[in-house]
Amino acid sequence: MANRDKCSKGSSTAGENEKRSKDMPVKSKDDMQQRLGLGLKNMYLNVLDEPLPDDILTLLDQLDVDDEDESDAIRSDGNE
Amino acid sequence: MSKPEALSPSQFKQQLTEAIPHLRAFGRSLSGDRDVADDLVQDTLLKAWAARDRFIAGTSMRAWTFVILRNTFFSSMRRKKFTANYDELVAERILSAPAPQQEPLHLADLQRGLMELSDDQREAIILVGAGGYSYEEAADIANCAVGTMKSRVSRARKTLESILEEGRFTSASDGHGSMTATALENIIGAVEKIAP
Repeated sequence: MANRDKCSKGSSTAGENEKRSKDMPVKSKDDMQQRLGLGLKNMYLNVLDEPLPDDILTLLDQLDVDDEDESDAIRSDGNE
Repeated sequence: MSKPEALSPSQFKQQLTEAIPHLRAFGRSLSGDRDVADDLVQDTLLKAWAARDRFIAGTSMRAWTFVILRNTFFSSMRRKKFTANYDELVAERILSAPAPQQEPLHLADLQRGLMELSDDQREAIILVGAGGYSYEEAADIANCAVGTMKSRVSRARKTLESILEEGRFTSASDGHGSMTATALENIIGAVEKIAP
């Protein structure tokens, strides 16, 4: 990665850098921003791909029904 | 002034239905919890339906319902009906296909990191970074100035990067139970101390 050198932060010793490179991949600020952006988008997209839960579907169906019931009630009140 | 054009109930319902997956994604990112998010979505649907006469045809149903959801969330947070939380069920899911030399970003880490941001910063980075809203649109939804939104996103990004890079999570985002208001305030205080 082109930005790899940017990761050697400040006063790290060569030994520390070597240990770090063994423990974890070297990351630059750009890498982190890229991963963060991708991670956020994917977190959001993962949810978009999920099927809607039954209780939400039931609620959606109920919206119309409640409305019709209300209209019927108003109509019958008016007729009385 | 003429009354804004309204959608028919079936048109409104159609658009509302199309917005639901986005509402779930936004709600889950805000609350960090699947069940809380779905409760929020249900509340939002009921409120949106009740207020459907106020929706202006041709405007964005998603943005309109996002406003309802975030207002519901924040007012409920104040009443402690919902608490920001971290979803353990998704703890091991890996996000994104990283470049070969990159570590994958775990959803668990990202969610925990998000929960350590202040509410307004979390909302900002979700809207812009995850939802793909422009700063202007996000500012409209969050009812703040565009400059404020830009600043929130920038601070959120820096704080989140720092937390994720250093694995500096506080115990309050460990995912054991709901956060109390005090814990949340402590986190916000801690983040403010480390934020540049």
